[in-house]
Amino acid sequence: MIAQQPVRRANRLLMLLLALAVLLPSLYGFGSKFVEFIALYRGDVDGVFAITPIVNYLLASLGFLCLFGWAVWHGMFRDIERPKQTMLENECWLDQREASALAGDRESRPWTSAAKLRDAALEPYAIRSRHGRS
Amino acid sequence: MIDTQRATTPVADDLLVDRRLVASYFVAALVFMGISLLAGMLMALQLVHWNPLRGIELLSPGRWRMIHTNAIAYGFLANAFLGALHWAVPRLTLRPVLSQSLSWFIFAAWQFVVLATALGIVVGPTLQANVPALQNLRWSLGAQGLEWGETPTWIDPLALAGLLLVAVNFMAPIMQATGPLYVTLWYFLAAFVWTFLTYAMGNFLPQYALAGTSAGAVGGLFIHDLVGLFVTPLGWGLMYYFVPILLRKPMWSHALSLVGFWGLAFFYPLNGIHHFLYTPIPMFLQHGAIISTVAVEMVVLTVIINFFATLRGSGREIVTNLPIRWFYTGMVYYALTCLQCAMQTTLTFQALIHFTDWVVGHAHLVMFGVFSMWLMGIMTYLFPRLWHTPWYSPALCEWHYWLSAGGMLVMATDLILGGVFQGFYWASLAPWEVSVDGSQPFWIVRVFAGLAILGGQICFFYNLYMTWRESRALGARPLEAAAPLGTAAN
Amino acid sequence: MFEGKSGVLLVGGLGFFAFAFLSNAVVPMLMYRDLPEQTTAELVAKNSNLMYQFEELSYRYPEQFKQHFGEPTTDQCAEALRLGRQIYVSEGCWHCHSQFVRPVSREEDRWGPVSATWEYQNELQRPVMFGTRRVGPDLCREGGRRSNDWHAAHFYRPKLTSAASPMPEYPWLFDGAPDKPNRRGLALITYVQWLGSWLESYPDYEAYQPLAERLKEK
Repeated sequence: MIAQQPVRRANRLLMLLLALAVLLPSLYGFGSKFVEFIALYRGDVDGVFAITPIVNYLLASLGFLCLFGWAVWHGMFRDIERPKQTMLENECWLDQREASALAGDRESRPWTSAAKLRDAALEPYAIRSRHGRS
Repeated sequence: MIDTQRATTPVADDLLVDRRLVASYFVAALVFMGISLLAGMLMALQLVHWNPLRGIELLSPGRWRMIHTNAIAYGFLANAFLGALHWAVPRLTLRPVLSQSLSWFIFAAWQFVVLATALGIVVGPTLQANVPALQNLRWSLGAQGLEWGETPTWIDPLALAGLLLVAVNFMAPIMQATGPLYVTLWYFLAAFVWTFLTYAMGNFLPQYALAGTSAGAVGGLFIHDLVGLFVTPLGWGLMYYFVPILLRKPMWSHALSLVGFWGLAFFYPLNGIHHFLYTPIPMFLQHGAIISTVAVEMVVLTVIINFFATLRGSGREIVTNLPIRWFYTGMVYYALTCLQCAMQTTLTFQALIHFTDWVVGHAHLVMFGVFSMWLMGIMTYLFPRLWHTPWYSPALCEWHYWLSAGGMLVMATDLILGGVFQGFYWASLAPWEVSVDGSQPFWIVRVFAGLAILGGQICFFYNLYMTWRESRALGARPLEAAAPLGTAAN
Repeated sequence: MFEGKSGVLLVGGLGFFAFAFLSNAVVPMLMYRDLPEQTTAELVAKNSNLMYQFEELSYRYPEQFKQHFGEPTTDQCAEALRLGRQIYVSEGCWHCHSQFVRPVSREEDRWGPVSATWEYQNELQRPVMFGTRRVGPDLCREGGRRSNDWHAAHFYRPKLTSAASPMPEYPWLFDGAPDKPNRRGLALITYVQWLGSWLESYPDYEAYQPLAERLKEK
């Protein structure tokens, strides 16, 4: 579960499809609204003002994209999925540590046993609503 | 690298997370949740002519409406977030916060800030009118005329200092962490900066430096940034932490989560003016705010896709795992409320629904339906771990969930629908009373939806109290030294 | 940079926030820098509509007025306005009443001229009282539309004047009876009568006529 999985072709394809599903309608929507907007304000005195913020935002986001591209070019995001694995590993380690530190304490808590404690620590637990507490 | 991080982690478990502090924050949050719900109920009863406590100055629905919003934002959400942060940040960075005593000081100071806000709003105007020495003050002891910033002006600097301390306290462990950061920490880091800046901008500029329309623009930024740059990044940051550990598998895509983060960081702060469309604020700025709002919805879509792709293959957890159910219900509501937002922010919709209950429904869906539900899920998961005692009654936990989620759905649908009716009443130029009378059925339904939500929280409070009693009975030893498990029955 | 903390803090935390602040807050500030912010005294000095209402209060409630404000001078009127605004804010009036007329939804027909920026460039709009919800009607054209005693009765018990009104009662603005407004009551009435009193079209009554009456005329 924790080991890094190779990105499979199917995953890539799915990602591409999802990206298209988000990008195409939004680009179409934005483009057509923008054309409509320009048509509406053409000839208006405030027309230039009307498109200022949009151009402004487009330029700023373009600048950010360039910065981002630069970052990727310089070797960032090579192992971008790593932190999500590290986080889970750390979490497991913390739970194990908590369990082993308290292993001697189980007599005072009749509803825990050493084995269960260990299993549950490896497997973070929620309250399981259908099971109830004994 | 990871091993060196672990090697430098304080060995004792209780030095990493201060469990008593987390529990204290949660309990304080729940107290303010109770107060907020009662205040909301008072206003709801007033609107349907059922308020039994009329004409009492200190119980004026006008003042208690401000308690309703401020108690949920600064009392419940801020406290619960701080509690959850005190759990999540040390565990993510493997380092404790800067100082335990500073943490407790912040806890006390924040409760003072929230209580002083409440007292200022409720008692301030009365005091000022009846104590001769205060009558000639040029500034008000009571509320500040700024939505979501009603905190009296004399408390603002204290609250700001508190936010600074919070940032310093949590930044310390995050700054020590090495290597690429997990997305949760990105959200948290940015949220500390944003919250501080937003609070300073919104509370001081329109009060001391600006008047009129430009102050309105700043006020819009403040309202929106408070939701978008304080509540949203902390909320999503916590989801990116709690969902993977409860599903026992990593997020579907860490890369996509970073798209969500940078998209939010760029577009969310640009949205503010969409709260004041058709005001004298220049029209081109309004257009800009609308466009960036629609852009935010695209960003939201990527985040929602990421979380539901993570859930794929573990769908049964929705049934068996109550915290996960809280989280994902909140996410469904989030998707709904963002869809609603994308519509209501357009000028077409604004013409009809601005100033109506549509917006009130939207606000309830965001503040309770999304963020409070997430925090309730976190509390449902964490209290057994904090107190080392399983829930007194899982059935009551279920009641808490169903009454809250169901009540919220009814309330939001009802208010949104009512808003459309009000919009049409107004546009028809019928006398004002017609719109008020026409709203009554919706307001009455709202009272009962509110009662359901209140009932759900009462189940939770009772359950929590009984669990606490059991935890006391189980062991006289310090909390940290007890067994860590919620349920070991199965 | 992007994977570390500096990117998050500088680009996301400060940079984008600053960009938004520049484009959304500094722009209107620069646009309206030539519109001076008027003080309350300046607002009162030029406003005979408001002074008329203030004097009317002194005739209608002579004892209370004498006790709390003395003579109906412009100074006293300015003080009443400031206090009235304070009460309007601290009693939460602005959460159920807005203060701007929009150019849509036939609001011009209902309330009068669409709100303009210059109306808000004054001390009493600090912070600005645009409002957030209309449970009750918009108030920025309310001044002069109704009489002082209507407002007094309305604040004392809204149902006396509007049977369907869900508005809370404010008996603490009075000394026990609707014809005895106290200092706070007088100030709030002054404030409400000020709203819109700067307009040429003052007072602007609702153009609405019920359908039944219109049919009868035909």
